[in-house]
Amino acid sequence: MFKNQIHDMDAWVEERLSDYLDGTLSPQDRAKVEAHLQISERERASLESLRWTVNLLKQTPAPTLPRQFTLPVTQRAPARSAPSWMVWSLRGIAVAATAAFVILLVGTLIRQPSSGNIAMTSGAAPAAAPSVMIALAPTATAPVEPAAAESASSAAADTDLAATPIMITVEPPATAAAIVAPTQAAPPAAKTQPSPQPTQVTRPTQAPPPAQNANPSPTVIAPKVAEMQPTNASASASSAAGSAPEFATPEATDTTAQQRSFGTPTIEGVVLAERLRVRAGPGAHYPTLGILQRNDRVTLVGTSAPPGWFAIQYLRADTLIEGWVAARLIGTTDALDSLPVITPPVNETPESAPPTLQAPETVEPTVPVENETPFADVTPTPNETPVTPTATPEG
Amino acid sequence: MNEPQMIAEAQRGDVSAFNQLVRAYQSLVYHTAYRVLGDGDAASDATQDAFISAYKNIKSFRGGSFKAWLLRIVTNACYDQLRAKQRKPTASLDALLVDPDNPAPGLGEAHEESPHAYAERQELGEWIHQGLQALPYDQRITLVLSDVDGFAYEEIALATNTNVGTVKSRLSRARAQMREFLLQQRELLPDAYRLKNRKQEQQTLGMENVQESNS
Repeated sequence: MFKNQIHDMDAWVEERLSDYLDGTLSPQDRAKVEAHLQISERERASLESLRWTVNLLKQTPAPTLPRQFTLPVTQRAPARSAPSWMVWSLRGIAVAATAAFVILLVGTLIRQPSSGNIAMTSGAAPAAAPSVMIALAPTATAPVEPAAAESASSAAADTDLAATPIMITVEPPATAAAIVAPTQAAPPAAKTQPSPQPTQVTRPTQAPPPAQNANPSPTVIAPKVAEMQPTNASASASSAAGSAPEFATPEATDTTAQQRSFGTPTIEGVVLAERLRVRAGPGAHYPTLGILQRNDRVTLVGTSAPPGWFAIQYLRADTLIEGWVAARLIGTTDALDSLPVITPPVNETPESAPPTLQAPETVEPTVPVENETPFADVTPTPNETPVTPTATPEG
Repeated sequence: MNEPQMIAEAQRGDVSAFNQLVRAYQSLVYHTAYRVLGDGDAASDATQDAFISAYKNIKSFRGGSFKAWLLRIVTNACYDQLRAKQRKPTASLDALLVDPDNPAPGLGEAHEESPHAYAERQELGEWIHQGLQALPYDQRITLVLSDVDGFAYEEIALATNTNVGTVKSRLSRARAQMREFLLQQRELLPDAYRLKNRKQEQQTLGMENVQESNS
């Protein structure tokens, strides 16, 4: 019957309306569809409602992006190479003098009978970094030829293993004085920083010299020597030459004079948690501004009034972001005495009263990280005792 | 830096260059994942996974449309998320991460429409979202890629690992089902989006014979 034919044709056209809308039918089929649309009101309506549907779909609003999906720009530094901040902290130094000093120091240490103790420190590279850094940290920024800086940093990196005995070599009392000093100034970063107590400032109990103290490395050591070995210390305790004659090279002295003219070095920190929230204020009840990933580097600009939070700055997507992070999840080997106490502006009040259930500062990674121990597994005990001069003379 | 330069730099390992690509495509990727997967947490995970995978594999990109290349990675990431969701439905921590009332600054969609129009479009989005979730996965992803994102049949075929014929038939069925869903809600849709011709609506629904009480 004619009506049945129309209905059959309706079904045939119905199947092709989607293609017809998109203009992807063959010319023959399109002609057939168009001819049928002339006579079938039903299919005309169907085409209209289908067009309407596709139109609505095209206007589907995009959801608000919950966050940026950019990858962290700061890539993990290879385990044995000097991190970039070390290169920065080396800037402005008379590089040759520094290298000479480091080599001299290393040479001295290597000659120690107890240098066999290297084996004791398995985490040689991370342990060595702070020790080298303390020796050189109070240097400030000034242009240096890249090649020179590189050679200096590689010199520093080369000292990794050799410098490690600084932490543990204590045997010959006479020379040990000079050697032990840096140990107390900076126990290995990995051991002391992530203290689970938020109120505990992440620095060793035996404080390193303030970073603002613009003394060069040799003089940093000197007062310590005088303090610990008063009988051994020579008359001029403030001079490296007095207590540690090996270091009293003319180059080192020149460096001293040079470095005093430089400004306060910046204090850098590294994120210890897998993912760390950046807050608008010093407290977990402040809104989250962003997320930092493990090993991201930030600049510390201040500390909270009851300690426990650092005011930080970092670059993300070429924008300088300022916020607060839990201090216990930031590792830093720099002296923190120079950090100013910052009170957040009044208008930056928490969005609400502190909720009973607070979101944790660390965040489960959505990013699978290969070969990484979970943060919880490497969390050390709160008070790792630094090695003292009296401890473990082997034999 | 134009796109080929960004890609070339990214292929040399420059994360910053790659991040420019991320910024260019993250809205599209997230939107697609959100409509296909149905929820923001899974969509966030899929988006992040897709970009990480893209970065890892960017050396295998040999020219052509980067968007189409990326799309294939995105559909795979969505499919992985879907399977993970079915296997183990868990609350994502992204829900804790982002406060919906306080999205990170600068992330909001820039819209120039009036508040009223904006609100109506959001409402439309909700209905479409519901309608999409009622579709089988293959039809849903095809409909999203075609009509929400505007990809070509060939790109969709490549991204969903099928041929153009299958894409067309999935699209046809998906559109038809979506139409039925939207027509069912036609009284609830925001006014601006209603199908105006009542008579045609009724005909489409097979109600030609219904006596119109008010004409």
